[in-house]
Amino acid sequence: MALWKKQKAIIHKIEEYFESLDECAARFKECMSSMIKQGKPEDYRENVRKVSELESKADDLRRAIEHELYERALIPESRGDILGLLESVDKIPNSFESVCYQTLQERILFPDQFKENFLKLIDKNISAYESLKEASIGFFYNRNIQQHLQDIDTKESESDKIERELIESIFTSKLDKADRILLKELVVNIGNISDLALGSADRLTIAVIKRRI
Amino acid sequence: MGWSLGSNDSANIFGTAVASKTIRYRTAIIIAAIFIILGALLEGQEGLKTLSGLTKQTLNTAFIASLAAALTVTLMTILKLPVSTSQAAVGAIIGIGIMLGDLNLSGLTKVVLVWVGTPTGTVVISLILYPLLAKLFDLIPMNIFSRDYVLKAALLIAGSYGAYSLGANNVANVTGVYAKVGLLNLFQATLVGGVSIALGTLTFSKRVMMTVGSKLVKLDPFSAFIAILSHSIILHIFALVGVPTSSSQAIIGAVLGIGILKGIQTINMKTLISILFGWVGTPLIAMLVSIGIYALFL
Repeated sequence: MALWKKQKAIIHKIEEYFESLDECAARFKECMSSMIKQGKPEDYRENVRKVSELESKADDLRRAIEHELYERALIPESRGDILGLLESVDKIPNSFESVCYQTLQERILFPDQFKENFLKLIDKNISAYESLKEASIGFFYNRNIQQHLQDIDTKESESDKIERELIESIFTSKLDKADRILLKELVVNIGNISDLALGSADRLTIAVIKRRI
Repeated sequence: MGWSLGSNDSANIFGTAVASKTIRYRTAIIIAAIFIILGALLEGQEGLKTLSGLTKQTLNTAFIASLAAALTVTLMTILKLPVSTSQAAVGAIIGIGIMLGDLNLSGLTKVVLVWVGTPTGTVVISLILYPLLAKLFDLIPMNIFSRDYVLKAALLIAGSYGAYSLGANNVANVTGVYAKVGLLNLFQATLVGGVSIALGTLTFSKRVMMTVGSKLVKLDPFSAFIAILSHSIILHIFALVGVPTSSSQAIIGAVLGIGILKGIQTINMKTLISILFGWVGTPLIAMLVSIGIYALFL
């Protein structure tokens, strides 16, 4: 019974980790939406700091889980899969943080004609993260996660499409060159979130195949 | 002889689990040693009767047969080849039989039939067990941590059963000839044989364990469990029939069965050749060694 309790404790920690990522994603969305809609990124320094704080909290939780995994006598191959997955998922809150800081530090202003597509791009990428979260938790509970993995792939493709449209419209606008480049870089970095989710999904796919009997 | 058997054959039982670090080497050898002795003591006597009935023996020829088989197995172990002690023992006894002009052919036929039946038997058993147990395994709701614990426990249980069957089946190879000449009674033969196999496992099994577990075929834990279980069932059945057989070939057959089910090639030509070599080459070498020693000293 003690064994089952210990396992439950690790699963609980993993769920707690994803809850902290959810919170980080929610703050990221809120922060970016405000900066896109209102302009004046410098007014949102406190919100950016909050995203960064949540990213650190997620980091701490991940480390605690990793530590615990090393101590628990899991089959080594499983341990490798889980640690690899957590490391890979953890790049997503890092991206949330860096996109916020990029917008703040580079004082990026969003011309009206791009606002809607930027908001769409952020929604799509957060949604890719959410599917990854569902897939990851499903994996830990040994459930069928095929649909979630497929969703991540679809969302990543849709994000790519929005990215391409945005970049083209940025470079065909009358903005000066420096602003175009700054906006383009931001578009690429936001789109990177779903790329990271897809990378983690690939890991999950392999881990699932390895466990198929 | 028992020592070389233990150092070589315990790899078939715990090789995969130890090489993948699922079970610690120390834990594996201690469990293996205990169950080998138990198997030898409780169910090792039938094999002793068969092997000692193959030919007439004197104390000297018994010693030569034992030494020749041990030398053959040790040589193969140094070459890191999983080799059948049973086939070496039978080969050595045949050598003595030839020199004495006395060989029980009906007993020999039984032995050879069991050798062929060993890998083919484990192919069939693993083909039946894999889908059955996989279905059962899938029915139990488990998170991946519990799943790992269950697999680890299954590997330990199958390994313990494997060690028990190995002790029961193979103890005759070690002390069969001594029982025949009356140097040891049946109980003493199973005890001495079991303990010496266990000592081989405890002191010198890591090398072959790593070869079997990591270099030949990489198995996932569930497949490894099925392979070990099929191996152990066949060895146990033949222990009850009373014919010592090859633990190595039993495991190869089981892995082949899993390969057939999964549609992957788990066994290459080289491995198949090594099975045939086990049927012909190993007993032949042991036979020649025993003839050589006999000619030299008697």
